[in-house]
Amino acid sequence: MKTRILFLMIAFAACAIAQQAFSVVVNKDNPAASVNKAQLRKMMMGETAAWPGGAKVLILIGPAGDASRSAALKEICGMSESDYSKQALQVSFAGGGKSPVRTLPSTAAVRQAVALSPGALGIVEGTQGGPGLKILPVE
Amino acid sequence: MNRLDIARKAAGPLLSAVLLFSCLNGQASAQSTVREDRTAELLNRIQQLEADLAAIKAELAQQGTGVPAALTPPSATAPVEPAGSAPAPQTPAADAAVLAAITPDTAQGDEHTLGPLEFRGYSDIGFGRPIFSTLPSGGLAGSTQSFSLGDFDLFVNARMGNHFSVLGEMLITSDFSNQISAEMDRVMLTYAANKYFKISAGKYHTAIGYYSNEFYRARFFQTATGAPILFTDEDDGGILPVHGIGLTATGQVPSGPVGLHWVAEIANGTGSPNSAAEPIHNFVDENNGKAFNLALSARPERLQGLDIGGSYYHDLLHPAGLGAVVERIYSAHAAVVRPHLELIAEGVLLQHNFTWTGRDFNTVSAYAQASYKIRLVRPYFRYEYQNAPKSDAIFTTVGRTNGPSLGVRYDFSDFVAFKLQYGLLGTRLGPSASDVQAQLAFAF
Repeated sequence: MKTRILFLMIAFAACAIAQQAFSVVVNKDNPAASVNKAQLRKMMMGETAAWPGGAKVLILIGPAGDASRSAALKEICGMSESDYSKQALQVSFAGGGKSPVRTLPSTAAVRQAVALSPGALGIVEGTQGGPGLKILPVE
Repeated sequence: MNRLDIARKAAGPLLSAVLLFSCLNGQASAQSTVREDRTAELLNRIQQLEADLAAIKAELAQQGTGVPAALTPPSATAPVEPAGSAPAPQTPAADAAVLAAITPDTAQGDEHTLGPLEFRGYSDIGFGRPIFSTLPSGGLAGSTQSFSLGDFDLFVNARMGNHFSVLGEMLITSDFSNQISAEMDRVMLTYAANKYFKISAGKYHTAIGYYSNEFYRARFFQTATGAPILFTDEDDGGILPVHGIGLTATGQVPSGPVGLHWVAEIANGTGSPNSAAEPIHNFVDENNGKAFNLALSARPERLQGLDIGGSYYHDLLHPAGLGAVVERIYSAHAAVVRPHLELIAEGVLLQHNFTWTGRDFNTVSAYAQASYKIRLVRPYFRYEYQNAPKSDAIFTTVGRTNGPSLGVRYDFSDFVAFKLQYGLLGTRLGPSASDVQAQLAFAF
């Protein structure tokens, strides 16, 4: 019984840690209160390049291999890095518009860019926002 | 110890301390000067970056890449102050990558500039029997150990300002005749007004079914070695008008989480299989009448990868030696395509109505495909069925074909895949064919 309880506690802790693997940040002036998982998936996969109100969105993520990027791809898109690159090719091949996703050299650069761009949405590590940023909960 | 000795002993450390202090003081002065220079340089750089950023913000505000309007309270929608008219914004220092990421592309902000141009290529090399969808009617005797070049698919996609874009797909391809030729698979000039309306002129893949408009011709994107027989090209004897030359319009339907999309198309249509002209009417339409196609599909946003839809196509054919034939094509599909799971089922009912007798001939074609990716390996299975009545004077050589295919795909890298497939195809009009084929498909 103790072993089971211990296992459940470890599993719960692992889930809690996994949920903190990335955060979604937006500019502090962005009035959006939250974003749902389906909307975020469509944005990250280039299926939509706009906020629900119609304004253009810019998705900023760290480089391939970055832990927050990998976690977001897995949790939001259900994809590995390979799946994601192939999917981007396929969207272009189908005549889709240019993807709103931009890759930056680091999540520090992502934070800087989001702080400077009111319509941007960034994927970063941890649960802290930063200067000019606010965390956007993912529902 | 006398006083002189004490003074000598004390003088040594004292002298050393004085010298050390002098050195440190000199070094600190030098460092201080360097630091001040560096600080001034950084301040200059920050001021320059802040001025650049203010200009970029003003440009972004003008182009709408800003705070989402619908989510913005009135007080927050004020435009960004232009450079120089207000105190410099309190922003962190930004490097070139950050600036490049948030700076709009040239074509988005300048209606007088072309680009950027995206250029890609796709191809494949096979060994074994030809792919079922490229077999001529009645099969192909022998040739079970042939190396074969697939399509050499050259693809370009470019934007021309805010609303216009162009897409081109040129194939250098060969079929069972061994002749290599160039073929324009798609050329589309597109005007996108918004997400609800986009119209293209040119040659496109007709919005019938799912597979043809999801994977197009590049075998790199396809799980199996080739397309289902249902989507065989017109010039390889396929029953569907897979391509159209004319206008195609599409867009979303305001339907919330249901994710409805509409398509409306008008094209020259295809020629009759017994016509001497090319199957796709490019320069001359044999009857001046136009084919039209209407399609509706749903992609619910909460069910990733699900696509359910149907279409209706109508054309009027004038086969040589016969009267007018009305062609109606009804299609339906359901697909779940996710990174690891692929379940696709679709079918068409193709109806030929001979106007001089009033008689209808129904051809049915369908397939189902399933695959599941386990790490880099993706086993798959497909079963296909097609049956055209012998008495349909338009499809005299189609007959019935049906059978299973199974195989495995292994992704060597993100852009190179290896496939090994076995298939068995029974036919009514010819001998059955079994197919073992290896294929390397790649993107570059």
